Amino acid sequence: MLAIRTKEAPAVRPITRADGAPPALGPAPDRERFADLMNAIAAHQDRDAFAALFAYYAPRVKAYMLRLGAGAALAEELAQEVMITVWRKAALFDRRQASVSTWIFRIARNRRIDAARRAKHADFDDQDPMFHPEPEMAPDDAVSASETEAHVRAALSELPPEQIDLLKQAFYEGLSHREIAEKTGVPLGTVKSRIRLAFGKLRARLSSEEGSM
Amino acid sequence: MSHLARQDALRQRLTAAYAGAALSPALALLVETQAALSPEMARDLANADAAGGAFLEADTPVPLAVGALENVFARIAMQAGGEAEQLHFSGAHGDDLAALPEPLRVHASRALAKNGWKFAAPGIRSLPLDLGGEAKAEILRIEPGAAAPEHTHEGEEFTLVLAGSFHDARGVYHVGEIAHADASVTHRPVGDPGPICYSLAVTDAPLRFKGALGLMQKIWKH
Repeated sequence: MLAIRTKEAPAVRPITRADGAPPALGPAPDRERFADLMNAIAAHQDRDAFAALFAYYAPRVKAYMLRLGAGAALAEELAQEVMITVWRKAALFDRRQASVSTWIFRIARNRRIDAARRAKHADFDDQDPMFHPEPEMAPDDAVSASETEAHVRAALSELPPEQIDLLKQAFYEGLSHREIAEKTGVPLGTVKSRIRLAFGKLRARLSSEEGSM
Repeated sequence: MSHLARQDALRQRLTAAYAGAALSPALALLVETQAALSPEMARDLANADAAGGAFLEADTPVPLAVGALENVFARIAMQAGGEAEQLHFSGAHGDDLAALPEPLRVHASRALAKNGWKFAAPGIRSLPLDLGGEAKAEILRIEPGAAAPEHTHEGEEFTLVLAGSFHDARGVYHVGEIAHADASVTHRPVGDPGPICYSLAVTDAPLRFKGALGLMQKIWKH
């Protein structure tokens, strides 16, 4: 049996930013344990495993929905729906493809995109495009997918804080270049060139690592 | 800007907007389909999703309502898992549609059963997709040499090549590439010699292609 801890392990204290803002990147959870929990849900509907994942992810998904302007009630509802999907689709989680965090981020992001359609339809689950994957995948694709996570995190850790903040605003908070410029007071042209730079560093890191393999 | 540089800039723009959930369902489908056809797009989306996962881990948790976990278990018990949808491709050009990559294939199957092909121009047929939202999405079948009527757009049009190739005044577009046009551009796609060209065309009002904050506030306003 898996050793289930229902509370989060004591976190390493994140580095506090000089401006008092919370850090864009924090200490990583135990990814192998989270992947084990997903497999336990898929294998035998393990409710304790689900409760442990719920304790960690549901409050973060709710925070994510709130960031995008959802009211408290809707953010609560969407967070619960995302976690229901995690339970129902657990068998489709593949630790070679993505970490649990990336997988749940994709579910949450797609649910958010789906908001336009959901204004008309009550059902929320079966249309999620990530659950209609291409069945066939070349072996080398699977290898590079499993390494994407490590590469991206390494690349992020090397970016200066202002570039991480820009990527977070674009990739996580869904702000356009213009909205980022208005929010931060940085000129639009500078926002664009910095994001292009950060984007390029994510890619460059990957290509140089791939080239050395 | 060269053709390849334009393709790269488009991929970057769509990746960021997709990762940030700032796209309509129709444009999101176009992005996901491009990732199935273009290794470069697949790589960019995988990078963006991994970054999103890292940002999710670092977000400040907001507690759920009391009893949320019990509520979720109760809802799980009430909702039986849906059966996998059976796809059918009986109808004109069904074999070609069945060869499309997911996640587009499931929408093509539904549209073929429900809407069927429409005449768009000589040598060009359109299969409108029903994706919800205000954006218009259709699969275009363009025979070699057939030319779409010249048109401009209220908003922006993204045309992703699914099979074969077409060209317009700016260049040739191959599988996995996108022709992008806005209100300032008049363009006229023409099917190239060789295999029949299939493409996914999405037309979106400019308003729809902006940051999620504005979009979500519009949709979720109570």
